[in-house]
Order: sequence, then structure tokens, then C-alpha cells
Amino acid sequence: MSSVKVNDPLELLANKGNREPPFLTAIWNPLIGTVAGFGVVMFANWGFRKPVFAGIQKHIAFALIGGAAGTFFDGKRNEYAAKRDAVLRHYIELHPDDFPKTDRKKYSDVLESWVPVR
Amino acid sequence: MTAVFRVSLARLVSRGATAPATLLQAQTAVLPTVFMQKCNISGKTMRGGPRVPKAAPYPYKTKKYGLINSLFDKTSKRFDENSKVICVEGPIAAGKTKFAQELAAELDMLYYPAVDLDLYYINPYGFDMRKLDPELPPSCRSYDIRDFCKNPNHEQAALFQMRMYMLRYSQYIDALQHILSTGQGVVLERSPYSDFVFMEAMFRHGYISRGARSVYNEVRENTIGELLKPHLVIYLDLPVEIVQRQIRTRNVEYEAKSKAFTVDYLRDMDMLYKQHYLKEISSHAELLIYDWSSGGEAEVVVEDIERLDFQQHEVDPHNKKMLDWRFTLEDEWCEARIKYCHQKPTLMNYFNVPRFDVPELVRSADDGKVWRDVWLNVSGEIFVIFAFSYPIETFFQAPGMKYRPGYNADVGDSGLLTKTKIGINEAS
Repeated sequence: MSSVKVNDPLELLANKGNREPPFLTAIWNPLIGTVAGFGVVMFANWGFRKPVFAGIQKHIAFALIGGAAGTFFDGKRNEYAAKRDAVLRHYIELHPDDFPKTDRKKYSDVLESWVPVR
Repeated sequence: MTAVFRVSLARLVSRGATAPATLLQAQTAVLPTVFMQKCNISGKTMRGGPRVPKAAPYPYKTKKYGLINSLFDKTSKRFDENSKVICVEGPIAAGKTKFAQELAAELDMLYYPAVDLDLYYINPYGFDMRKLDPELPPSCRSYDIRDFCKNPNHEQAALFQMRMYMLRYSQYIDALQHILSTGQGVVLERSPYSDFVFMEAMFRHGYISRGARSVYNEVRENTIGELLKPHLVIYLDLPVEIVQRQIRTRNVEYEAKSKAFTVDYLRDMDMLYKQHYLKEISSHAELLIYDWSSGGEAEVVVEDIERLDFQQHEVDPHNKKMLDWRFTLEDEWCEARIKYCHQKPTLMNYFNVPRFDVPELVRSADDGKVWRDVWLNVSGEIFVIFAFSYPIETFFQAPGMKYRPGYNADVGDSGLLTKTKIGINEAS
């Protein structure tokens, strides 16, 4: 590890494994899908003037379908984001001149000292 | 020119045909025309036994009949000479019920009793919704034939007649379902086709307004064309004086003391029946009229029915008689059957004619809200959510109205947790 820190454009797009995603992120989409599937059957039952929990097998089936759809779209979205990052990384690798490594500056280097003038 | 061509073509085609060698051959060749089979309605006595169905009846009350089913289960295979719609018509207390029942028994047909607003007011669990009247605003209270006889000038008379028409229409669809799914004929007491007789008589005596009559006619025009007209109409004719005497003899309290059934009213009904209804329907259906002043025998009528030749109208495809029942392709039979067996809700939707200009047929929003809350007892459900902030209204709840028929635990429906069935044609 060098003592002078630099901003490497490639490293900005790499997963450095130093960030823990929140608990809900992993289950959010499957959860919403499950709840929506269950809720749709309840709504349909209400619309047909049945008790909302009548025919519980339908609730279970639609909850499973909803959960599966949530998982599927979650995977799709991750795939899309990974591909996008890979494309960007590849572009940077092909055009190193356009993306030079720059020295990382601190605010102390940028800002001038503040002299209050009254 | 065509005629010349036809003659020469006939000669050309028949050139190879040889003359019959023996007398017997000549006779057998002619046989089919001499002993041509006739397809007339036949009674039990004439046939010498009960009706034998040509194919097992389709369970149309519980099983759906849609496009896919129609590919596997054809329709006309169940039809025989007795697959006919017969309507028994006549004035009040003419003896239609007894006659229609006897007729149905003799012809092995299904009898449909005359409709009554009980079909509307008594819910599928047998609870009489008229008991809720004290909790309803005046515009939503019940009004049936008893009320009409007592007070024909009530503002709900028009609604009463609309409902009668609707029930007759619904029953006629049920009858068509039956005949198309089982091949068994049906005998109906009055029909949606003759319902306008009552409406018109009521209008002439000022029981319903001109606007209500116009709405009725518009609804009728929108709906009646969807049905298949009857094959045979039997009119039991009684002079007005005898109708009055019959009403007194039958002595049903609300009829005998009725303000509505005056001589003029009965005479108007008689005139409308004969001058309008019978005239109109006779262009399509066979018509039998009997003087029923001193009653009569169903057997005699059956003999007359057996003599009617329904087949004769099929010779000319442009003949207006029995036109509604002239389907050339099997697909068309199946389509008609799908329409009545599977799409009855769609047909009943044709009653939704947007006419808001007749006040006695329009219910105010406030009254409608009260009716909905009391009749379907739904508001409790919403209030439960806000139970802490709103007081729950405690009114009497009609049993078996909170959910659709078959889903009411309070009147003993069970297995609701896994129940998904809606019911095809069971609930009327």
C-alpha cells in the first residue's frame, strides 16, 4: 500500500467488500411480491363477496408466485447492474488515457486557511 | 335461362338411371315419400311410455358449458320432437297452473311455475327480506303483488313491474338452459314476451307514469331480442265476467279484495293480450286458443298439440315461423347454448339501460347507502377497522346476506377456508 493515495477509476467500480448492505435489501423484492400475491387474492375475494380468507390454497399459491416473481426480478436487476459495471470497467481499461489516476486530495489541501476579517 | 339449364342438367344426370325392374322395387323406391316420418310432439299416452332421452342430460346447473366444452359435447344430439318451449297464457285465475302442470306431466316436459317477487325477496337461505322494511327508507321498502293489489297507485308500482319482467326474463333463460342442455321440453306459465300486457294495462289505468312506460319499453327492446321465442303458445280464454267470478271463487285474499283488478283493468288486459300479444307472437309460434270458461281437459289439448306439424315450417328457410330455432350448423346450436348456459350474467346486464329521468325508478344516493348497509350488512365490516374511534352500529343483520350464497358461516355454510367454487347456474 503506497503512502500517497490515488483515485483509481477502476477501483471505484470494483466491489471492495467493505460495505454491508442493509438487512432488508436482500429480501425486499421477494417480500413485496409475496405480500402483493396474498393481497390480490384477498381483494378478489372481497370483490366477489366472499370472506377474505376463503380458499386459502389460492392465497398460498399466489403468495408463492409473487415471491418467485420478486426473486426473479431481484436477480434480473443484479444481473443488469453487474453487466453495466463490467461494461464501464472494460471501457476504462480500453481508454486508459481518458481516465488517469489522480492524486487524492484532502480538503485541507484544497481549502485555504480561513482568516476572519472583522 | 336458369330453368333451361336446370332441365338439361337433370336430364344429363338421370340419363344413366335405369327403370325399376320389378314392381316391388318400384314400390320400395316410393316408400319413403309415402310413409314420410312426421316429427310431432307426442304425449305419454300416445307414445305408450315415458320419454327416453337420446343422450344423457348435461349437468348444466353445476358444470360450466363454455367454448372448450362445446368442442366435446354437441347440442342437437339431445333434441327430439318434444324439445319445445310451450307458454301457457291467460287472464288471472284462469286455471293456468293446474293446466300447465298436467300438460307438462303428459308431455314429459319440465314445468316452470309462474314467477313471483318472492324469488327476489326470499334469500337463498329462506329468509324473507321483507322483514327488514322497518329499517329502510320508504323508497327501498318491499312492494310485491299483495301491495300492488292493495295500493296500485304507489310510486313503486313501476319498479314492481320492471322486477316482474326481469324475473320472467331470468326464468326464460333458465328454461332455455334446460332445453338446450337436456333436450327435454319446457312448459312456462306466462313469459317475458307477454309481460308488457300488464305494464300497458297498468299504464292505461294510471298506476305507472308515461316515463316509466318508456323506460320499460326501452329495457324490453334492449333485452327481448336475445331470447328464442316459444314454439307454441296456448291461450286460455275467459270472458271478463267469468275472470271476476274465478277471482272470487279462488278467494286469494289480496286478489279478491284488490283495488287494481277492476272490470276495466281486466277488459284492458284481455284486449291487450288478444290484440297485441297473440297477434305478435303468432307470427313466430303456433297458437292454440281455448275457451276455458268452465275449465277443460289437458288431454284434449294434448291431442290437438299432437296434430300440430312443426316440421312443415322448415321447408321454406324464409318462413318466419320457428325462425329463432332454425340453426343450420351444429356450431350455432352450441353457440346459443353457451350464450344461455354460460353468459346469463351478460344477458342480465342488458337491463342496465341508463335512464335517469324517471324519479320513481331512480333511488337517491342516501337511500341507496342505507339500503346497502341494511340489506347486505356491509358497513359493519368497515367500522370494525375503526372500532376504537367510531361506535359500531348495532342493527339487525339478515342471515346469509353478508357474503355471496354458499359463503355464509352464520347460516351453516362450511368448509369456507378451502372453498373456491362460485356456482354456475344454481343461484337464481
